[in-house]
Amino acid sequence: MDLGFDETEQMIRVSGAEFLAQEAGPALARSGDVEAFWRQVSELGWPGLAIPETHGGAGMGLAALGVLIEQWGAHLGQGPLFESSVLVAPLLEQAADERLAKEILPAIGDGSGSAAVAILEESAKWRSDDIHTAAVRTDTGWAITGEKRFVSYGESCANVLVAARTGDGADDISLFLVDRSSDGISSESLDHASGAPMSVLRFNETTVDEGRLVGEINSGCPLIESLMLRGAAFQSIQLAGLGRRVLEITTDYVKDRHQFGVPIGAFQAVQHHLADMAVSVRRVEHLARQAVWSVAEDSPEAEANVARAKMAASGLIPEVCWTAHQCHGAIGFTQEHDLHLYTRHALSWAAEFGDATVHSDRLASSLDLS
Amino acid sequence: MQFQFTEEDEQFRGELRSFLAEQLPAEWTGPADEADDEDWALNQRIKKALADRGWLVMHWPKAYGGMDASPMRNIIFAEEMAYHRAPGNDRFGTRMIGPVLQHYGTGEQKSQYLSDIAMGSTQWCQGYSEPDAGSDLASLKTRAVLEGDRFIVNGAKIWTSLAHRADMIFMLVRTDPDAPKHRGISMLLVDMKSAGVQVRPIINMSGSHSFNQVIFDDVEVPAENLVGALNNGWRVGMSVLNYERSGIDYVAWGQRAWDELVEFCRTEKGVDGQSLASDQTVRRKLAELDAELEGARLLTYDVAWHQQQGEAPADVASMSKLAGTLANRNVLDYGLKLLGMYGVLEKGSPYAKLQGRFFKMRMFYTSGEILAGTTEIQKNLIAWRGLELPRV
Repeated sequence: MDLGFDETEQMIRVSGAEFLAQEAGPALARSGDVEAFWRQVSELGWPGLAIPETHGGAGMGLAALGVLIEQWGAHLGQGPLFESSVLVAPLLEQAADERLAKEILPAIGDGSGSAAVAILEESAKWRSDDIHTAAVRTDTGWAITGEKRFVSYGESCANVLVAARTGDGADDISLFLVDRSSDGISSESLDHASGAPMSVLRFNETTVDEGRLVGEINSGCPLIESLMLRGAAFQSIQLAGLGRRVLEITTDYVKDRHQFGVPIGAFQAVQHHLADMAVSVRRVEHLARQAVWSVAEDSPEAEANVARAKMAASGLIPEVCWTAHQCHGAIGFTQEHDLHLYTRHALSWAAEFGDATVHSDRLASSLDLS
Repeated sequence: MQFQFTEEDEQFRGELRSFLAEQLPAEWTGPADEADDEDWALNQRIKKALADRGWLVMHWPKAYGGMDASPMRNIIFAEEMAYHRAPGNDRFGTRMIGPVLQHYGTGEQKSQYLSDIAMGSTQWCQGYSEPDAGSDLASLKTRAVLEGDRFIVNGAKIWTSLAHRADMIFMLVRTDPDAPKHRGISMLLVDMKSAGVQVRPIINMSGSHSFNQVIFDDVEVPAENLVGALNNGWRVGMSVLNYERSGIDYVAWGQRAWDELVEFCRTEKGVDGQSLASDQTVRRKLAELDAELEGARLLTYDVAWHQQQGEAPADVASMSKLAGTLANRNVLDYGLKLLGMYGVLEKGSPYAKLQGRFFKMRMFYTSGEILAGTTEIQKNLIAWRGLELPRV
C-alpha cells in the first residue's frame, strides 16, 4: 500500500499544475478559446502520455495519465484530452487492427487529430437497447444513419467513434471510427452549462470504409463497457482535482474576508464547513486514485473500485461546491466570481459516465449481495 | 502509487486470521463487556497468546522486545483484531504508555514497565478526562504536589476505561497551578493499589461497565514516577492521541457489521416477500455504505502511510477518526432501520434478531464520536492544522 506519488508521477503532477494554473483555469473556461492552449498542450506531449512508444506516444501508462487528469480537472483544462487520450486511444490499442492504430494513434498523440466519442443517444445512458443508430453494409464498407447526443468536441474532432447497431441481436453493436469530414454528418450544439463544446451529431447514410471498423463485428458492447469504466474512473479523478481546487479557493477566501473584525475563517461554523469539505475531498482523492490505479492495473476489483469512486465523487464534490458558495456569501452567487464555473463543471462531470445512483447499482451487482 | 498490500503484509494478515480462528470461541460475535469475568479471562488469555507470538508489541523497536513492524503492518493488525471483535489488543499499554515511555521514560521506568507490557502481564489505564475537563482537557485540576521524594495526588478522573481491571494508570496532573494551563501539567504513573485510590463504576447507556470514575485522595506517588520533565506533561500526554485518532477500529467494526447485515438481508424477507438483498433500495444503500467504509478505510491507510514516511499528520488522523466513526455509525443506523421493531430488542432477548447486537452496538458506539476528541474537536483540528485557519 503506497499512497504517495513516485518520482515520475510527482513530476507530472507538479509541472502539470504549474502549467495549467498559468494557462488554463477560469479565464480559459470563460473564453472557450482553446486553439492556442491546445497547441501548447500538444507540444508538451500530453495527449500522447499514455500512448505506447510504438505508436508515437510517451508510453507512460494510464496511471500517469490519471495524475495529469486530476490536475486537468483542478484547473478546468479545455480541449479534447479526455475524449481522445482517456477514452478513444486505449480502446484503439485494445481493439483496432494494426493499420488503423498506426494511422490514428500518432495523430491523437501529437494533438493534431483528436477523436470524439458518439455512443449515447436520446436516453443519455449506456445500454445496448438504447442504441438505435444503425450501420448497413455497402459495397466498400458501411453506411451509418442515426442521431448521437452528448458528443463532446463532436464538431472540432478529426475522427469520431460511433456505436451502431449491426445485427438483430440485442447486443449486436459495432464500433466505427468515422472521419469527421465525411459526407452526411450534421451537428447541433447542446448548449452545455459547463461551456463544454457538446453537440448532437446526426449521421445520414454516412459512408465508412471497411477498415474503419474497430474490433470484430458485433463485438462493441464489451469495448464500450471498458470505455465507460475508464471514463467513470477518470471523471472521478477530475472531480477530485476540482474539489481540491474549490477547497483551496474557499480556504483562501475565508482567511481573507473579514466580518465582525476578524477573518470569517476564525468562526467555528465556517471552520466546520471547511473541515467537512476537506474530509470529502481527501476521501474522493483516495477512492478516485484507487479507481484509476485499478483500471490501469486491470485489477479484478476495478469494477467495484470505480463504482465506489464515482459514487463518492458524484455525490460529494457537488456538495463541496455548494458549501463553497455558502462560505463565499453573496459574491459567490455572482457570474463575475469564478466559483460557479467549477460548480458547473462539477455538476456536469457528476452526471457523466453514470451518476451516484447508477454506480450504487453497479457496485451492488459486483458485491454479489444476494 | 500502489493500492495493494505487499505479499508479506498479506501473508501476515492470513497468519493473524488463522491465529484468531484458533483463539476465539466458535461462533464468536464479540465480548459482552469487561465486567464479565469470563470475557475478561479470554481477553487476558489472548493478550498472553499475542505476546507469545511477539505480536502484542510488534510495532515496538527491537530494542524493547518488539519487531519493528511498519505502521502499515500495524494497521493490518488493528484492522483484523477489530474486525474479529477480538479482545486482548491492549491499547493502553502497548499503544499508548509503552511508546511514551520509550520516548520520554527514564532508564529505570523503561526497565520496570516495558517488558511487563510486552509480556502482557500488566494492565494499564489512562487518566486524562476529568468531570470539568473534557474537550478542554488542558483545564484539568487533579493536583499533584511534590513533597520530598513523593507527589501527593488529589482529584478525580472520569470516563476511565478499564480502571476496574487495571494495575497501573498513566495520568495527567496539575503540578503548577500558576502557569498558563498547558504549561502546568505533568504525567505520572500511579499504582492502582495505592492507598487513597478509589474506583467507582459508571454503567454506560448500552448497559455495560467499561468505564469508571477514579478518585484520588492524598495518594502518595514516588517522585521517580514522573514521566518526562516536570510541567511538560501536555506534550508528553498528547503524543498518545495520534494513535487514539486512527479510525481503523471503527472502519473494521463497521465492516463487520456491514457483513452481518448483508447476511441478514439474504434471508430476511421484505414486504413483497422477496429477500431484502434483492430489493433495489436496500441494495443501493448497502452499496453506498460499502463505498463510505472504503473511503474511510483509505483515510486510515493514509495515516499509516504518512507515519511510514516519518510524518505525524494530525489533520489526516482527525479525518480518519471522523470518517471512521461516521461510517460505522451509518452502518449501524441502517441496520436498526432494516431490523425494524426487532432492532430495539435488548441483546439477550430470545426474540432479538442478530442477537440484539445492532442495538447494543449503536448504543455503545455513540461513545466513538465523543472519546479521544469529539467530532467537533476533530473538525476544529482539521481546520486549524490542516487548513491553517485562524484560532480566536
